[in-house]
Amino acid sequence: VRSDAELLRAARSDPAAFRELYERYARQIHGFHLRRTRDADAAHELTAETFAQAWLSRRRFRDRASGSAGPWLIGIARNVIAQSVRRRRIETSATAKLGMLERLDEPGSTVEPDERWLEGLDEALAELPTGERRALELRVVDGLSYDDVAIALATTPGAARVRVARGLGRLRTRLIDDQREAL
Amino acid sequence: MDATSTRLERIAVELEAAARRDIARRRSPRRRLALVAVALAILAPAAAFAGERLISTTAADVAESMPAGTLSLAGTQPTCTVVTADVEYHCTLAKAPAPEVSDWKGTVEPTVDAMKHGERRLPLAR
Repeated sequence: VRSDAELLRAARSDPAAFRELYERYARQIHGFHLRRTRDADAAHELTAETFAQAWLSRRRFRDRASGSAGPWLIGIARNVIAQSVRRRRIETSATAKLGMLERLDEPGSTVEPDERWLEGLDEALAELPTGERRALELRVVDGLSYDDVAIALATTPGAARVRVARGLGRLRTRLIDDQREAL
Repeated sequence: MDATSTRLERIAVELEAAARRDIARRRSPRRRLALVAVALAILAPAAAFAGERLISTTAADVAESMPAGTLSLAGTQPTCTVVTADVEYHCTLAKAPAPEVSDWKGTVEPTVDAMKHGERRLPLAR
């Protein structure tokens, strides 16, 4: 079974590989959006937009989470929500650019994005134990090597690796819980 | 399959199709431009315009009228040469047209000249 990172590498020239990645994460990303918008149409539009943006920026993916694309996709989903709230309309720039909008022919969402969609957006990260959160931020957000994470946290590279892995595990569990709650 | 699964599956299908189009588009930009340059030759049948002068006689006017009449040709910066005055012009686009039309061969596009707007229709032929 190919890792997410391997799929994204293959997806540079292989759309089927990107679809495989979509199949892995579509439910999670949809649950993420549905939990925040509480609107089925909006959640589908935002899911399509999240993956369309992921496709367009797939070459910028850097494997900083042990082969997982989960944090990267959640980061894109978070930005899509924030862009929608800022512009007061569902963000569709990537789906439009790829010519997906008209082909999907979905019932357009009538909800207007508002600040409440941003509530709790970062709470999953905030709820992590401090050591794991800092390790994840340094590794995934700032892109440091495990050696540099270890220096920043005054620990060993092995311990830094364990903290990142545990943090990712907790985030994954949290996202699955979110999804169940939303359905 | 529930409604959510059905809609997520539709997104999957369209996403993969869009990705294929995107890759194809990025792989051959020069080829696309070349095809456009070859495909766009304007043919205005003289018989269809009998008794009236439908378009301006200069090639520059014809080039100007193309994006004015067809939104997809906006920004393409056409340049035209006269093949047969008032009848046939060969036009080349400096930039590719909007992607919604995949094959321009045989399409009929309106042009707009200084005398009359929105009624001139010229068949485009290879």
